[in-house]
Amino acid sequence: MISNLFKSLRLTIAFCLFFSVFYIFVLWLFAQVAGPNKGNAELVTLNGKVVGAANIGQNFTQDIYFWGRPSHAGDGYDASSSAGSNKGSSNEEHLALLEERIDTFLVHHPYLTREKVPAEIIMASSSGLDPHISPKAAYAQTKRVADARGWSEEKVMGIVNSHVEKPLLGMFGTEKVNVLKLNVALDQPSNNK
Amino acid sequence: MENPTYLTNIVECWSILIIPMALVFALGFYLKRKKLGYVIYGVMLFAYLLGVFCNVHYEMAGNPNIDKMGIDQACGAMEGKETRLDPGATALWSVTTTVTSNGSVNGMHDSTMPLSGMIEMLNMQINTWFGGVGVGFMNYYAFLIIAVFISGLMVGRTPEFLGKKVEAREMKVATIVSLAHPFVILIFTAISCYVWVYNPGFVESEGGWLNNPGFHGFSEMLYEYTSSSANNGSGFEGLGDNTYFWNYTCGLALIISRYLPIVGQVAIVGLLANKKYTPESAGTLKTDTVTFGVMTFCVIVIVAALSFFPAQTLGSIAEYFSIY
Repeated sequence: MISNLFKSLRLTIAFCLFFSVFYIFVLWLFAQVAGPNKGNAELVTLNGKVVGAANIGQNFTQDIYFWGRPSHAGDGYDASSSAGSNKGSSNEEHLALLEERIDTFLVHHPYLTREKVPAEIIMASSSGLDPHISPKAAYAQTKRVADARGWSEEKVMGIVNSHVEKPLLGMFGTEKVNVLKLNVALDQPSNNK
Repeated sequence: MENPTYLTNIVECWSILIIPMALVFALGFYLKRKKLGYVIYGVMLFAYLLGVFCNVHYEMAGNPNIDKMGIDQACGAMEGKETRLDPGATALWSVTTTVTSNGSVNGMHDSTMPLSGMIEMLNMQINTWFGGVGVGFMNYYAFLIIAVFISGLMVGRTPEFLGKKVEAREMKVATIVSLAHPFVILIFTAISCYVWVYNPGFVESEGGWLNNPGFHGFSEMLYEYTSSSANNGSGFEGLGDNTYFWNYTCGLALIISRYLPIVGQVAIVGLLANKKYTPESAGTLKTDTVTFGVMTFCVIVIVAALSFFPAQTLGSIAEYFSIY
């Protein structure tokens, strides 16, 4: 009995060490070799200044930018308190909130009809930090961004199209647009001549 | 959230399943009854795919309440899901994480459609398909014993499993084991419901617990105890569960539901090991046939699922009918 207990205690300590030190070290080594960017976050820069990490969504509210999805992380896109809404599909209160979001979206995009509002742009992501929107959601906002910047719609459309990320091998996953990268592209000096 | 890209999502989904799946084959290999391993694998895979089919269908079809708003929901039910991991992949993950003792999520289960939520819960309530590393079979064989006994009685053959006679004592233990899991989950859910109804002051002092009203609120509590009893760890995370009440009761549910059945399962093994080996004869019930696989599946569905259907009816199923 005592020797059994002693054995299991030793095993526990050995595994604690193994998984909390050695395993992490192996992961880190692997990231150095196989991971993109040596396992560090992919940073996005504008005019030589770091403006954010590509995989962490940010909040955009100005008319000259594309907007991401709604967020329930803290007060919205708070990277220190990642969270989803956790509202059920039958929650009346939540459905009323979604209704409000549709109205707000339509006020800012008066050229859209209700059927053209993509559902994801009013529904919050699970992390609250979703960095992507679908191409559809980006196209819906193109005219607003173009008008706010005084550009032609074709020019903005061209920039969006060049930022659509294709699915893996053309099969796995969805087409998506990284909101931060897209907005940074809009702000590039070469586009603002 | 899990997974920065779709590729890591595929890899992780694969690696969650591969060891639990491989262990079923390992069982057949070590018992020198490979066919038995294949039959068990087939039953588990069938149940898993059934869940995947249901969840992928409902998540990709989207929320009917959103359709009523008249907007474009071609993307599927995107509430609580990431754009890079579409509803389909999130649904696949939600089944994969609940059939195994995994518990990681790549989308909020609380926001999934009612029947997807039911499948997620049933997977953990049955707690038999694949399971964690070997834990799935641990519960599966309690049901196997029952299936052997029932089908033995039905066709008038001696109930035998792996050359050992299955008798009343093993049956009693197997029954206790397979009923302990529903007992713990349902009793604790009943207690929490009682507190919620009769002691609102206490619930309020703990932050109000529920994030959703009505049927879905009940599902949140049921899911929480299901998850801790099945040692899963996922949750309907809307439930404010970092409180004294939830931490203590879930801790208890976890300990009872994890260790009590193991005692019973080891006891059955001990009882069987002490018996004389009877070589297979014409009178032996074959356990490595498709028919017996179907039989086991039915026993599991009847015993485990039916003990939870009354509770599911109050939660997920009622919610389903309220929105469709």
